[in-house]
Amino acid sequence: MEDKSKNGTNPAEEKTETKKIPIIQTLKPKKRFSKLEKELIKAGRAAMQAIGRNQERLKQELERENGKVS
Amino acid sequence: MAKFHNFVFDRNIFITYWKRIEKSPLLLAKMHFSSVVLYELAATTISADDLEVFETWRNFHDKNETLLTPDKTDWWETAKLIRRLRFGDKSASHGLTPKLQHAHQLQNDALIARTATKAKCYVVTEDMDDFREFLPFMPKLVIVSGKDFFGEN
Repeated sequence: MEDKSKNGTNPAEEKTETKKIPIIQTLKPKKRFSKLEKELIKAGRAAMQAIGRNQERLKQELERENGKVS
Repeated sequence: MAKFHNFVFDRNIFITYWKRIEKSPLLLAKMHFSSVVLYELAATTISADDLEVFETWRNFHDKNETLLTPDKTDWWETAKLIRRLRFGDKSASHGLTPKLQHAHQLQNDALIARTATKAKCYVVTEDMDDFREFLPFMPKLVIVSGKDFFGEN
């Protein structure tokens, strides 16, 4: 006999959570990019690398200020 | 969420997820970019060479008409919004709002939110609480957390 909760559903099913799909995976993919979009991608990649470099520099500066780096 | 298909990233998203964004041509090609975020990134950039990188990126977004820049009305409306948040005026739909001592710090976020809404973009941010403060005054604003957008980092 199946165990049913008050509202008639299986308790095991009630506990099952639907996993949320990240929005990035739902974006409509593009097969081809325009010339301007290609430029945006190239410039954007360089900007992301600059952000990464800057974060590293800021971290090093902070460490130096805190006397962690001699 | 479904009402907007375009998106704009808050500064903290670039800081937290830059590696993920760098690897995604789709995100780099489709995103809208806020001048306010550009200001925040540029103002905290140590290297002059990297500043030029941001300038090039900005120019292509400008050319692509995906650069969101506050105009004179945006500044004025944002000033009124921040005043309301600071002094607790009544909003149209939510009654008396609490006073927020840090409201002046929300200026940049409010400008990002306003320009994004006007351009039919949702805002992806790690500061959900700060952006939620604007909802009583910007009912069309849609905010999404970095985790909901990217999944686990």
